[in-house]
Amino acid sequence: MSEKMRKVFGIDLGTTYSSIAYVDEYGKPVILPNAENQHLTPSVVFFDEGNIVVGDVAKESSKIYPDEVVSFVKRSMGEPNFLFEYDSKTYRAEEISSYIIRKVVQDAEQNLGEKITDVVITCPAYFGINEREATKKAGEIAGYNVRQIINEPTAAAIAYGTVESSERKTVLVYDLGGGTFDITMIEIKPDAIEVICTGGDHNLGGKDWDDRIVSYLVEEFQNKTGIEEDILDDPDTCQELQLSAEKAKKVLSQREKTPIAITHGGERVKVEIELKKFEGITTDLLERTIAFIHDMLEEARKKGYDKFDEIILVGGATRMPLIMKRIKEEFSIEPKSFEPDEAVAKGAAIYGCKLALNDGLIKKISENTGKKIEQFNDLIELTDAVDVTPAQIQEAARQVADETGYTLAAVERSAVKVKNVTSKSFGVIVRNRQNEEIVFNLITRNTSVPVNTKKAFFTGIADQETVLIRIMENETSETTIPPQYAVEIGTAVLDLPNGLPADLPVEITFNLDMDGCLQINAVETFASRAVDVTLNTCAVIDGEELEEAKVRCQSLVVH
Amino acid sequence: MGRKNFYILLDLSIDPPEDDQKIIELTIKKKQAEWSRFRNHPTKGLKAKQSIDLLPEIRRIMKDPELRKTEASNAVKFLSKKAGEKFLVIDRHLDICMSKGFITDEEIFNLAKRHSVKASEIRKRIKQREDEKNAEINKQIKLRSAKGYITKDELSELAEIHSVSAKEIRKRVTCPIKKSLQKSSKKPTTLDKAIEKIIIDNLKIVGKSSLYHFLDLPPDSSLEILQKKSKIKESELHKRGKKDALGTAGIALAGHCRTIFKTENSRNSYDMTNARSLFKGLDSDIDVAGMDGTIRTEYYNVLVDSAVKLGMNRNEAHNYIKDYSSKKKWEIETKAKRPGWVLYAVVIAVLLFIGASAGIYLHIKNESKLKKEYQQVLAGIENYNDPETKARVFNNYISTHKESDRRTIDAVKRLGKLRLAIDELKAKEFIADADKLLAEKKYQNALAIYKEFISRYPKSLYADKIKKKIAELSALLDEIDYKELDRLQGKPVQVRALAYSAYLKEHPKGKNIKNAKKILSNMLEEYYLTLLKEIEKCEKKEDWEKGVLSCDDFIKIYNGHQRAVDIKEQQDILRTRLWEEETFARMLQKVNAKGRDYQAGRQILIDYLNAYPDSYINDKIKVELANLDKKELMAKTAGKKERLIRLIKKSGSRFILNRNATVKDRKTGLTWCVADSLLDTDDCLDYDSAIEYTNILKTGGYNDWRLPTVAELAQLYKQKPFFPQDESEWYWTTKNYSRYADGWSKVVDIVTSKNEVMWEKEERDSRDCGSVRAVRE
Repeated sequence: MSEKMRKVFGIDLGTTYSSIAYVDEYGKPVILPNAENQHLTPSVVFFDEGNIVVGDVAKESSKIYPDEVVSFVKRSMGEPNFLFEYDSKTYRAEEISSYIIRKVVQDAEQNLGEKITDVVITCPAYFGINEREATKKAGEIAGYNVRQIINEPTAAAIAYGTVESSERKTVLVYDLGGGTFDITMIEIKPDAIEVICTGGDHNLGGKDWDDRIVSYLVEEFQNKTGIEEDILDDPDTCQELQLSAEKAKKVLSQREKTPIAITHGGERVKVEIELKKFEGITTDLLERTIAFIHDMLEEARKKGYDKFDEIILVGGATRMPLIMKRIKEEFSIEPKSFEPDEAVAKGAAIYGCKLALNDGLIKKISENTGKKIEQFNDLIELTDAVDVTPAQIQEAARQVADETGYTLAAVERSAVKVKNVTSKSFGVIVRNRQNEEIVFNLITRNTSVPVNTKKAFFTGIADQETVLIRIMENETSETTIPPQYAVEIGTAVLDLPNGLPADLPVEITFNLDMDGCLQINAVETFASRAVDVTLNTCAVIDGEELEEAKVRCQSLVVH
Repeated sequence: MGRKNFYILLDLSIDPPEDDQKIIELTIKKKQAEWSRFRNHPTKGLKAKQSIDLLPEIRRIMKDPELRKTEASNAVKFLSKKAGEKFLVIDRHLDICMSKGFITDEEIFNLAKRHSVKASEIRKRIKQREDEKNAEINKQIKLRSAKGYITKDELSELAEIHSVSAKEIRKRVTCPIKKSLQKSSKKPTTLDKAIEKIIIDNLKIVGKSSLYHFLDLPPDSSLEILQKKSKIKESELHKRGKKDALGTAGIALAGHCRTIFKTENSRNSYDMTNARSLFKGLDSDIDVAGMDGTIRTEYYNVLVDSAVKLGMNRNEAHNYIKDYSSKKKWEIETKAKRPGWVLYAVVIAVLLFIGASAGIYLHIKNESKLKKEYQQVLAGIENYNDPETKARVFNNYISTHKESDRRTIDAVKRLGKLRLAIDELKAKEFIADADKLLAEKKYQNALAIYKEFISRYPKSLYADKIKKKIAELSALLDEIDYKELDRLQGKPVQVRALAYSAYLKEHPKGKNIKNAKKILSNMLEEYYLTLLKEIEKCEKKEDWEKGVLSCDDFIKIYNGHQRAVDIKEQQDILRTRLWEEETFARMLQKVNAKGRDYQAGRQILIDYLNAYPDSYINDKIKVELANLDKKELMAKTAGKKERLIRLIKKSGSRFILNRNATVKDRKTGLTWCVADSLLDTDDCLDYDSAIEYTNILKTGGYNDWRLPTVAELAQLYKQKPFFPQDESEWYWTTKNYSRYADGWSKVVDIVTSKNEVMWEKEERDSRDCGSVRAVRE
């Protein structure tokens, strides 16, 4: 394989498990096992004095050293106030995630015997700007070049679409992972994968099902022993019960009942949990996912999509039979379970490969034609933009195939177009005629990205000195909403010249790219002063703290 | 929702308040690490997230000396309020300990320790807590009224607990009083405790007391409304951009609402759980009562009363306390020590006995007098021939003399002999009558005669003979009647079942009884299904009375069978429907009697809706309510229209009133509606609705109504002679424009209805609410 072309690996950075995949020389996505020879690495980090241990050992250690182990950190991505403290040092979610990335990449390097530099990392479609940025930073802290952050359901659909790409169809991707739930409508065409609509809840996942079992076990323990204290206050018992609950959930996916032993304060109690009970205490969780599907379908209808052909289930939690049963009952379609644990990483790998091959093609075409070519999305875009003939492209593809060892078909297939939508709406705070503050959305959710919108607003008073632009993220499809429904993700200040009248138009442009990166430009129309903002929020590790984390991570050995 | 006090949240010293910035910052950091660690705790994760989300606010407040000072003083207030609440529990525990009439020092010590207060506080409390009874009674009534009504049994129970008259309790009741609890087909079970706890934790985070409160609906809302609101709430929450603890807990609660308010049963389970959650206080009461391992009877009784106060019935209360105690391995004293009054009662009984014995002795004196009297009776009797008369004389003697006297005994013997003679005579008469009927094959009548004989003279010497005849005749009739049943083939199952049932009743010992029973039993399912269809028909036709009656026979025939129980349940429903229908008719009469007092009429219906939120006729009532609204509106607008027409007529010859509710302006040639949109709909309209209103307006049979221009309206209201001003202050015109190029923020010119020559043009936001005076060419 050529040294000139860097492989791009796909990482599924999950709430409970993570994995890494790449596309082999036959164009087939393959999961790379970790040092323990497992496809999935538990996303659990154990601070073992000077060492960082990630994976199964860390998970098992949680029983003995509950205070030194951190799990489910993905749920805190983009939360600026989440700080894990160990040995008087504090760690942000991004940094802890970087250890997980280090672990899976390191093990993959060992397995392949080659250095990995470039990665594509997945995140729930429902992640906002902060969470996406945090995910990207996690990859950077780990020391890798994060080529792109792509949505998990999109990745799953890419993997699915590559397998079944012969016909055009609309599929719903029901992605219930360990900690997040995404529902996405995707149109798979032979030459493109297009996201229509997306929705979900990043606080709903398999862990919530586990937690229900834990609550039930606590109750049963109290009933059987008469002990009234909250046994979850004891970190050891709490960890033990969480692990038991996860196991019980897995057993209940295959059997009608399972026994669980609870040991606490010298008392040992055996509790048997039946599938029926389990279903009973989790119905509301399942119903929440159904409600989200209907909400999303409602949005899709507005875009003219009123039916779908298939429902595919991804994410480990979809292994629970009750989920398949309920979906079938609701939509009268037999859902297909598609590699629930691996589809996301594989899709990310395919996408990574596409990026790498695109690089190769650009380079070759540039070399062959002497033209400077920017990154492109698909071949049509390429031919339209730089006047390259199909023959020149084919020639370049042949050369890339020769150099990389990929088949020509694999190289050509890499030109499949992937079109995404934004899961959030973005707007600014303005005042309406009643002089009340409202959020005016320039980009509404489920709009295809990249997107660029411009809108003129007006200054409120004469001689106004500055314009404060407060950039807001929210989840409604309406153009205007009250500010309490939105989160402020950044601000910018535009200085105005003196002596301006009231009602002076100020043009604001929002530019949201494929990565979910938002750029804002504001221009006052009198003297054409402009202010550019690339979102820089306090919610994500940055500046000195980021550099320190990078250094810290590089000097650490992750096991 | 009020947020938690930061001094308390951070566990900082309140008295004196911690003021050292360094210590405060250190504590915040410590707490931040602690909450982060708990961020993914199975049960406390959300609460931790809520605290984490508060961190910026905590830092803002705690860094500002002034704000910090206020925070500290709020903390003091909060804690003193909390301490007040603690005394409520102490009071309850005192009630238990004092139920035996006194409280021991040891108990005071234990209570003080349990509630972490000084013993002197407890003593002070004992003195203070007299006469809070009234407030307590009111609370209890409220608790029981939560289901929409209160039963008579509950009233008497409350009266008993508080030692007041039922009348006194009744005075305080503001909801309907019913005879008994409304039957529900299935007794609801409570929610799983784990789920209950999750719901309570989430409710705490969003600052609501129940799922009803969360949906901002009263607990007696219909299931349909609850489901609808749950969906709306969920959708709203999905749209919220902020996925903070509040939003997350809200979404989780919305999920619970959807599952819990899915069926009546699951909703009942939740209600039951809610009611049961009140028992947590009871648990702590039992803990106090069982402090020394045994629950005294006095304590036990107080506990039962407490449980009843919380809404349990007595049986449930006994079971609950017993279960709880046995779980804790505590014994309950079965009987209280025998009080002193029992001894007094025994002494009084003995004294009475002695008095009675003394009385007997006095009667012996009468003996000789009686002997003489009896001899006279015997002598006198010989004068009568008729045995019946003789028997009457003996009867008289026996009834007026002491039974145990030997003369009375003799009289009874003699009377017995006389009766035999009478028997024989009567028997002969009866047999002759019966024989005559037998000859005429009137078996049933003959049998009746025999039976009458037996019932009149059961001890007659002929009784056995007659009984034999009865048996023979019964067997004969049994055969005849049974054969008669065969003829019923092809008749409806109800007729057949009724006949077989009558046969079984008539011949309880008949020869064919087994067969008949079997056939009747075989008919059960057919009859049941037919009856269900019949009930369905009745339900469709809403002929509840017929439905109730048709169930009667089935229930009688198959009494004790499960199907009869099922039908009885159906019949109960039908009966309720019948009652509801009758009530509805009565209510309508009352409403009609109220005439134009629509409010009073409405109140009658609303009272019913409130008292019986699940009643079948509620839809009809709602329709009736809507009708009342319509009638009232029509009455109201009719009056206003008349007034306006009078004013138009008065305004001179400019306006010509047409008969079709329109008015022509001779000056402009335009035709206007007499009634404007406010008069027409009793509502104001925004601009879009105003356009829609003119589009669908059909006044006078025209469909080309439109909004007027500014000039047209001005001619009407700003040029003499004016069109009379009505209730609307201003009217929409066709003139509208947007403030921004993309149509955002629309503004419309309007004309006021004020009659004036000098006027200024005004503009309004298109979302404002105004009126339309529709016009056509």
